[in-house]
Amino acid sequence: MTTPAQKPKAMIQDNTRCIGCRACMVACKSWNNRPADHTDFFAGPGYQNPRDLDANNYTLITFNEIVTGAKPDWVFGRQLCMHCDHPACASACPTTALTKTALGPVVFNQNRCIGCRACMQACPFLIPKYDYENLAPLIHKCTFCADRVEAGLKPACATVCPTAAISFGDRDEMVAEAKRRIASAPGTYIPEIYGLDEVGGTSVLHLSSVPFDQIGYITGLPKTPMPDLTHRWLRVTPHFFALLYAVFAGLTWITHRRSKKQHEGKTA
Amino acid sequence: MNWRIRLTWWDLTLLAVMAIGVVLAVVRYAGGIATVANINNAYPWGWWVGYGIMTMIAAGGVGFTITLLVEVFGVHRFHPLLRPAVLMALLCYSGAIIMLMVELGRPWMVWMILVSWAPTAALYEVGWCAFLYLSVLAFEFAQVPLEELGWGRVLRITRMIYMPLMLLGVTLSHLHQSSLGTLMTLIPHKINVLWWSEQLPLLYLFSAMMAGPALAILEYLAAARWLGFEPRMEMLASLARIEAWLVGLFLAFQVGDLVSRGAVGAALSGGWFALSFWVEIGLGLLLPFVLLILPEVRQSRGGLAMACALVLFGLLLHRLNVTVIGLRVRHWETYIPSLGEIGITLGITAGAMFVFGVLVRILPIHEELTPAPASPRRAVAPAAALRGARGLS
Amino acid sequence: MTNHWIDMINADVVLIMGGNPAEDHPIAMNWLTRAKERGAYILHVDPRFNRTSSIADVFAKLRSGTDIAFVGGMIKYAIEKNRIHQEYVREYTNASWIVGDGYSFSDGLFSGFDPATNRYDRARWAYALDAQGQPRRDPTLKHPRCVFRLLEQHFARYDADTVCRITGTPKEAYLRVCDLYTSTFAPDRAGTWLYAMGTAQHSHGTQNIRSYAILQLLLGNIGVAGGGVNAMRGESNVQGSTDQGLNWDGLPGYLKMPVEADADLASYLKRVTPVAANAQSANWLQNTPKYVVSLLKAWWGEKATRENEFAFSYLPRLGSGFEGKGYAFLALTHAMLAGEVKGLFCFGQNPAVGGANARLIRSGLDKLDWMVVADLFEHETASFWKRPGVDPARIETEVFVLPAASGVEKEGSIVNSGRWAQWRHRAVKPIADSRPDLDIVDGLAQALKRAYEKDGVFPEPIRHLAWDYGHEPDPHKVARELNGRFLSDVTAADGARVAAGKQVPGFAQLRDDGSTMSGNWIYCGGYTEAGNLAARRGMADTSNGIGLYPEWAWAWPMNRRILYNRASVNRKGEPFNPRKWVIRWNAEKKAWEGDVPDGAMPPGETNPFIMQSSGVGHLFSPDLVDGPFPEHYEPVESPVRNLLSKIQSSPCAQVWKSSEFDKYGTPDVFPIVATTYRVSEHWQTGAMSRNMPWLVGLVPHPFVEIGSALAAREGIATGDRVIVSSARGSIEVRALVTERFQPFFVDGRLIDEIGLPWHWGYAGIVPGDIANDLTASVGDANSAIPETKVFLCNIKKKASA
Repeated sequence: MTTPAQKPKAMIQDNTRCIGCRACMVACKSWNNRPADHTDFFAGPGYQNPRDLDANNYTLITFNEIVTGAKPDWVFGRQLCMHCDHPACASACPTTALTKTALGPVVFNQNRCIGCRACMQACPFLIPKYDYENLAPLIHKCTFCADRVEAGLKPACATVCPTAAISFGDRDEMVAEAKRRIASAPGTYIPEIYGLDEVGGTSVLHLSSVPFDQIGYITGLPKTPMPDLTHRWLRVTPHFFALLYAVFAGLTWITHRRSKKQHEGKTA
Repeated sequence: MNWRIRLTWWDLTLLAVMAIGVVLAVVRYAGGIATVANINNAYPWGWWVGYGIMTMIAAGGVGFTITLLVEVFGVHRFHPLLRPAVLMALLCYSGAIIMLMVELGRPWMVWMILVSWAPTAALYEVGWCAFLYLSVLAFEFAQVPLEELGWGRVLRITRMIYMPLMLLGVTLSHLHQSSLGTLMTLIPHKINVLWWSEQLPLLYLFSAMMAGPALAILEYLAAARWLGFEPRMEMLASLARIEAWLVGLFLAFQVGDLVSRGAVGAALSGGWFALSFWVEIGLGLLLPFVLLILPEVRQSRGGLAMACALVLFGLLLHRLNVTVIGLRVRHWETYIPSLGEIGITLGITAGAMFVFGVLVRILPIHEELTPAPASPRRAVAPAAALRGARGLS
Repeated sequence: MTNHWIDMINADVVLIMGGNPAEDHPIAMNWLTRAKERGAYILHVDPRFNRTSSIADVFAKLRSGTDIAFVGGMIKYAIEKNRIHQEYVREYTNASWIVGDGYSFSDGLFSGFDPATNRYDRARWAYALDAQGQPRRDPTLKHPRCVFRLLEQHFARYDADTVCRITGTPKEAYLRVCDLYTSTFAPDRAGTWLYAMGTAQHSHGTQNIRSYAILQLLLGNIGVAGGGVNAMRGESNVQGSTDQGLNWDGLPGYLKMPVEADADLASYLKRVTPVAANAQSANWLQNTPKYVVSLLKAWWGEKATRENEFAFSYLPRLGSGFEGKGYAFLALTHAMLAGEVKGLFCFGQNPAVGGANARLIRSGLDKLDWMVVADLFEHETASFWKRPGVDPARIETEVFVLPAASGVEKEGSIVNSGRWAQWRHRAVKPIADSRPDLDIVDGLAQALKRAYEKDGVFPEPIRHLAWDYGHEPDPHKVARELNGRFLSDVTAADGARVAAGKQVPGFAQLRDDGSTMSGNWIYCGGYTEAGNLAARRGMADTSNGIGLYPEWAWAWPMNRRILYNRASVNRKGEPFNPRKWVIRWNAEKKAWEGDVPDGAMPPGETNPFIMQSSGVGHLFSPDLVDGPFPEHYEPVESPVRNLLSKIQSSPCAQVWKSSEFDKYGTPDVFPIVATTYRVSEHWQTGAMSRNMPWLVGLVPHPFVEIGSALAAREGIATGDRVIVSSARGSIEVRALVTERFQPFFVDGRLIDEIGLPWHWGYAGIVPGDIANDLTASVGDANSAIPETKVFLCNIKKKASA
């Protein structure tokens, strides 16, 4: 139950502060009761494990070695559900199993899911994952710790991050803080807040010292909400229906009368 | 109604394939999707959706296309194709539903669509429309066995509501056939530029319309061969000419859309995507178009069969390209349909074909085979379509 | 640490060397992040670009083992550019002290070296004394034999080019580090120096730290906010363990152990109690007798009386140790191998994996008659008798594994690197029959007392132990004893009467007449009549707002958060940096404000380094066995000759040669430098973390990080299985090829260096080869800490079967 005083929340993922320690990954698994992974060595570049988000890992740190001339750099990025303001997954779900809550989290109600996986196709950030081995499989993704947020707490990842690379608070404050950081240290940050405008705005604002496509982020996304693309077609459904029905009814009437006349003409 | 039919080797083959499908389905339910299928997080939709749902539903468009032609546009010379078309549609949609029961992660929850309100979800619309349309088809087709059984009162009711239902059916078909395309407009950045388009709903609708006559022709030729009647080639040729127009227009539409989106460069580049595109366009549209505009082909059984088969192949490839093959994934992500996936879809297809084959032998589906009106119970003059005996022509 | 974790936010420049806090002390990164927000520069000096380097402003790579060259060059840089806090150096260090003629240095050796014993006669380094027996001084710092000039002369050879030729650091990065860091000489700028095992675990590790201290003193960075020489301790309560005297050669509170030559209490106290070198020195350790007697009273209670010298004879004496090398870890393991150790109590340690030359250690365990392990999991040491490659039937050690409770299953305190004792409550009861260490030791002590009640050789020390912590041992009782109490009614310093039984309010009140007892004088003041101060969680800061949080927990000594803080003010008690003042003298109230002053006496002549008998910071220190100044030597196993002198490696290093496992490699066979380190996801030997499935999922298998050039030459790709070998053994690990670890350009050629995390062993969810099988039994000259951070190795791709 949200009180009127609770405003929509957002998170800042400041990759210039991230040290890649992965406390967030472990805290997330702990809070969400996810089983351990059976990995072999490292799956991705650097120490990255597993390679990608999956049904057991709702967040992932990417390890990116970026070499400029002779100088190496190691930049970390984080993948997690963006909790979009206009989520494509919720829009695509035929049973409203995914919904955007007032406080910000896009939550999954497993009691409504039929397992069609339209959300997986729809998500521009490739977030929802499935546990195909399960007899009663479910969609798995970051929940923004919606239960913690409702209780006035921060998500598990934000709580454990040792460098405050993860901040959490009211969305307007987070947006202002993200902008302030960029303005106050232009040599440190690239002037871009990933997630601010992407697909119509999300609840997770990423900051980085290097272009986002160099640290494993999906870039080139439109600024308009994804559901607009289907909405433009679906909203004319009733009109389409009525129009077609009327047209077909009219045509049928015309052609039947003609053939009846012919028929009568023949049998007359 | 002649219940006694002799099962041919083809029937037995189909039964065997169905059995394999059933076994695989049992494994799927007992062990989870991962035990039979290769679909994964990068490719959540694969062969099952691409073939078993998208293509099967598109193929089921034969129902509304022929119904449109015959009942709405009143082109009665195609009347003999109507019942088979409706039956094929019914079986295609049933097959798609069965596929859905296997494909869904939690099929026992599928009823949840009916008690939800999700107007922004294309799949919601598809689900409702398909559900309603299946009912309509069942109603439409029910007239045939009801006729045979002589249940006059029921038949009368059915015939009374036939017209509005038929109209509902063709309207619903337009909606959900296009919505299958709407579904894919959601992910422009995920589908290769060769296939994603804002016009996907229309492309899907028109490809379903294009597939209708092709399937009808193909079935008619096959039925003529197997059930042993002389096919009316003029009828077929006439329909084939319409089909040629449909294919040609669709080809123009698709290529025109590609050009207007500035994706010609992608079509001309090397690579697997371009290759798949050219196979789809070339074998699935261009070649059949060329074949169908040739009168010799239109009058030849083999030529027609080949052309129509190519059209259906093109339909399948188009749907696969949009939903699966054309999906943009990271370089380590792959998907090849497993034998289990293919086995189940073959099982469902075989099932549909088997049931179709049985029904056409025990019910008057093909006018060419229907005996003279024998039942004395038909006291009421046949109302609109689906008339037994020889239709008007 | 001289300072503490939060204090880092006050730094203008942070230099991290020999440490990787992002991976090994990640919580500390919070403070470093905030320091950066306030405009601090983070400089990271390390052989490998790791997760700490990723947030540093400047990364300067350094070949393992060449820290003194690096820092020596910084000292020369500071002196040359006059980036010295003049007043601080003149007043608060021994810069002006004149060194006697007995001291000299030439071509790598200080005067007084005896090659037969590999020891220095430190008397040769004595100061020149005046008629009163006090060291002579030149406050103008011009005298050629004053410490400052000798320092300058000693490091004159450490020019930037020479340094970079030794360390392999790109000169531009090196000069940037020098420039940025020495900018903190200004009174209103502070630099903090963070280090860890990468500094300490070398044959000259102590001198490494000395070089940091020297530079910090020159820059005036000790005792100020945002300054200090700050060790990031390697275990979560190692600070507590060294505080409580768990080192082999110490008593609680860093008091010295008696040696055989100490005939009685008086002669022992005379030996260990420093005499003030001059009138300006507070020489706090002159109070040593009070602390020793109070300790003896704590241990033997009523049985420690004036008559029996407070049971001084009950204390064990330090012998010369195994092969005359004492009983530090390397000696202990060699003694075990030689069959001289019958039994071993192994609590919360896993030497089979964590010790240097681990194969030697495991073979030593085979020789024990019995071993008692107390730990959370059956780790490699507990299961040494069934390790791969041995036949358990041939091993006759009787092994007892006692399940120990984890940190959240028991109550007590942990001391962090900043000396903060933070009390923790029990969150859950221990599972099954696992027990807190206190319960286990208490049970042992009770059993021993019962056994010695009947008979025994020299039974009195056990029989007479004052041991009572409750039927269920109560950590509060232990903590109260550590603080100490009055044993009879006394009159306090302010004239008030204090009844017997009251807790002592601070170690200034401890006495040497047996009227007080205290289990650990530096903890005296932490559990007073006011209660358990370590359990406080007050969030108020002091008026100087520098993050001292004096009401959060309790720091030793006396809740002083920044040590030597009198060095942050001038002789009038005015802070050098008024913006970030630590203490200041309020002339009206005649009292100090801010942190607990390090010496409550009013400002004036008393010098700030009250724990030194000299009272000043030591630029020149005759106290270390291997030299009064740090001097660069190559590690014992090195691929290059020492470019600075003819002495290849530290002449006083403990180089074990007595066992079959003590083999050393040469660069022709082992041309690659190797180092060892940790990752955030695992903890030490993996005894706990490799039993945690989530952590194992992140980092499952042992690996070696190698540079891309070396990998290309050897045909090694990431993921390949490779064999890394040293003169002591070989292991198989996976390769991780990276651009972050590139060769060093040393003396005109490229030297490769590779690195191995050392978290794996044969136990746990995922076993792996033991990196310490490759390290050598080489000990630091002063501390005997093993040189595990640098050795020679070779690497080959594993041939496919």
